[in-house]
Amino acid sequence: MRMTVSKLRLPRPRSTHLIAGLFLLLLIALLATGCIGETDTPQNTLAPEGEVARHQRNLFMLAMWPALVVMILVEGAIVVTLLRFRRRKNDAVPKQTHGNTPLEIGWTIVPTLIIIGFVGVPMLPVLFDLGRDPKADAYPIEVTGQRFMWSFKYPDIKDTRTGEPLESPPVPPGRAAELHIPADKEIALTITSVDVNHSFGVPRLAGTQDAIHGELHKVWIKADHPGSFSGQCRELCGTGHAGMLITVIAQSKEDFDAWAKEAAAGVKQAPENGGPEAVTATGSGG
Amino acid sequence: MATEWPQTRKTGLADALRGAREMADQHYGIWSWIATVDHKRIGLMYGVTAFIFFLTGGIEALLLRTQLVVPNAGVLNADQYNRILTMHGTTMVFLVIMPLSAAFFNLMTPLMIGARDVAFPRLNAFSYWVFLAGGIFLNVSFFTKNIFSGELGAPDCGWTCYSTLSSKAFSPGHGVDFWALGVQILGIASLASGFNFIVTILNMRAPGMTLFRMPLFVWMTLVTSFLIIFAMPVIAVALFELIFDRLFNANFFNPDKGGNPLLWQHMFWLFGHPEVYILILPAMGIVSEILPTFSRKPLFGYPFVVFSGIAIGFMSWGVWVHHMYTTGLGTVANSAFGISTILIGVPTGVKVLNWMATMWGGSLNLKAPMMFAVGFVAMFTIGGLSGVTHSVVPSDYQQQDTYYVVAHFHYVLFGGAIFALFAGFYYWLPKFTGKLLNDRLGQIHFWLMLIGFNLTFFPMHVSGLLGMPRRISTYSEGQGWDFWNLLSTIGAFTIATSILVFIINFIYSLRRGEAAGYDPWDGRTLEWTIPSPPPHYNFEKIPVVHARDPFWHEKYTEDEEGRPIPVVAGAANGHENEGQEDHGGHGIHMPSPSYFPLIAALGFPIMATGLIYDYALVAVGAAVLFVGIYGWALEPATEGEEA
Repeated sequence: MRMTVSKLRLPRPRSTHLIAGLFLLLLIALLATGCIGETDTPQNTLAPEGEVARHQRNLFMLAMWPALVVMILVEGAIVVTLLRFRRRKNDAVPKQTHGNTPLEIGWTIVPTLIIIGFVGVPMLPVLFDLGRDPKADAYPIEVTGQRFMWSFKYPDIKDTRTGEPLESPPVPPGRAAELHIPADKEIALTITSVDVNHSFGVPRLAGTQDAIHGELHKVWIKADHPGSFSGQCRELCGTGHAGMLITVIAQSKEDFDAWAKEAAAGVKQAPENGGPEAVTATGSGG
Repeated sequence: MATEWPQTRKTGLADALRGAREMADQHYGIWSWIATVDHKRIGLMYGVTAFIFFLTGGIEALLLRTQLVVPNAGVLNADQYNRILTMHGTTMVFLVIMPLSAAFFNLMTPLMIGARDVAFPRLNAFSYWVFLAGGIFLNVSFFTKNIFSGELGAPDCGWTCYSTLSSKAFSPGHGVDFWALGVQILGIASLASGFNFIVTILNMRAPGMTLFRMPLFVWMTLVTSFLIIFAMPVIAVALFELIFDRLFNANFFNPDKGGNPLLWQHMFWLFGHPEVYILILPAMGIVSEILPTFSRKPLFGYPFVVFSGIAIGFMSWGVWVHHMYTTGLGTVANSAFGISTILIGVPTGVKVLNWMATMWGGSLNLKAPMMFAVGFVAMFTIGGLSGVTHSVVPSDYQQQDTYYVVAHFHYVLFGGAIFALFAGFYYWLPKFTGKLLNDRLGQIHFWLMLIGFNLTFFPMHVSGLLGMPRRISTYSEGQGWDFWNLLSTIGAFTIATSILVFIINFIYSLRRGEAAGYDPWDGRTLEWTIPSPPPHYNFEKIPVVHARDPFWHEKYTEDEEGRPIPVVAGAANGHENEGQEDHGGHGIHMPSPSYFPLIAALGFPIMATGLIYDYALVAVGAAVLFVGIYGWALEPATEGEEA
């Protein structure tokens, strides 16, 4: 039998150490991933402060932990296989096993049942609940994406100057547009776009929702408590995409009503907390 | 080697090129490559071209990563970023992974099924030239603006080119025109090669090679080819509509005139999801060849691996909406596609378990091809599992369009496809260069690439979960993304270093590499029964196949306990096929070289350029195409018949 022996010897023992080391690193990385929910960053998808985001986080965990376990098992099994069965001098040709049909049928059916049972079935009720139409008494707000800013229209607030529904003032690119909502109340958002696709994402309140020209996309969100939540456009929309920022300001009933009254009267608003820092607009614009 | 074909034939149009033609009939010289219809040469040209595009796409990736290394970096402006981003994605999908897979289809399929060439050799050459034309056409777009003043003319709509961003109103200039027409041209190449390989595999197998004796790689080539011929027409229609919208003011995607931007997304992903499997199934085929060879065991559960590949092929048509959960298609559609997405994970998981069972109990030779193949299994598994987390519709609303998605598909397409393609290089290139790649450099390449890969893309899971949207040209501080982006950028340059090691290895091994011989890896399949590099007719005598893994069964028999023992007579070189003496292929009729596939292919970029700049050129391109096809149709296939 013809065997090729490389002139340069294969650094076998080092390889296995490297495999083990890498595996350890991976494990550490994974644990870091598991702790993401603890970090307090503005757009953390795993630190919900609204009902929709909380359901979404819980479902993600439901899928992520089994996935992590399977991953560690599979990667571990690969490492064990490599260490245990790596070729040694004078290895005999191994036994030629061609397969094991009952075993293979087993590892087709069992994962199917597990994944449907543990992920598919629990997912459906949540999907239908989050995907339902907003309740009739939800607070309505119209969200419009355009290159490159978000604007918000409040049908329930009449602008005293024009008699029309109140609209948020335009913001320059890189500066967050402010959406005021009452906290602890269901908000009915109608999301659309006047030009290209955008996507309205405020992770601490809810996952992203696309804004598409010609479509009215109705969804609901609810903030647990007063606070300020960051978001930004999630769908590539042109040179100003990175600067199409959002700040959602949730206020108690009284504060919100007071804000609404002032805004309707045209009183100049001081931006809450100054808003997030403007992203440097490196683009040539439009 | 002296030519063995008569030089007397007159070929009408090609008469003027007689001198060049004579050179083409030789087996050396530039013209012999330009006119070649030899599947091995076409495969090598596919490989080299796609690798150059791989370097292009890689440099684009490094530019993107450099811009994102710190918040508010000023390396690229948003316009440049979007254009380079678009070209990176388009290049890696259409100009790298697909044609690298096509390179292996070309190089390996005829050898593995015991054939002398593909069914339609000139169509095969045509596929290559059309691919090359399309690839160059796409990249020429960079230069349609004043590149020296930093203005890039490339498309800026992302590789998905969603409507209405892709419309003339929001993407003025010619970038998107180049994109749509370029991808259209590439689709023609893919379609031609898809049909070619289906016919080749179904009709040209050696005697005794039943479908269930075919190597797994050939099976995956077959499934991929079927996916190609069904998926490419879908994107072709979408692209025609986009071109009509842009050039002739049609309104397919214009909501102001009753069109629908979501129509684009449906068609794009109805093509796009099978496309994902077009990219990954050949990789799975390569790995399914390497793992058994380097474990010295047959593939565990061959029928399961074949059928799971076919199942993936069918199911890939029923999951496209999982790219569109957040577009508002409604809960019933989302739940149906969520369940189908969960289910498509099953046949993929089956394959992973079968690969692991193949290695278990084997005698694992951890040479570079094996390391890359194992790397594929390890990394692809991670990509598959993050894919399962995507199938959970409500939680996917959070990950949609974040770096978590970027991490997922790079684990599948880089950790998956690219690792497997490199495994294929180390495994099969010696068959064609005659020289083994250096294994120590291969190991360095592997570990650098594995570490660089994980350093680049694992942190993207984190930045994605921390809410970082994909495709943003910059970001502000205070989002918690800085550290993870820095890691990703360091990783990207580590990958680049590993690729450099590969290039050095390739050049070094071409000059100084160890001779490969017939069978450097103790192979199992027919390609190892012939010399490296193989003669242009491949097999002096068409082999007769008696079993799956036919070459292995010539080398080994089994004792009473079912343990393999070497066949004594075959220990050195007495194998049925290997032992056959090479008579220089006298009397074997091979298809003649031809310039017409190249001429026909040239017509497409000329027509496309004409559509953008001057309609008169369309007529010129059509004429060139017509001349190419006309000459092709009248050119006799084999010179020997006339002699």
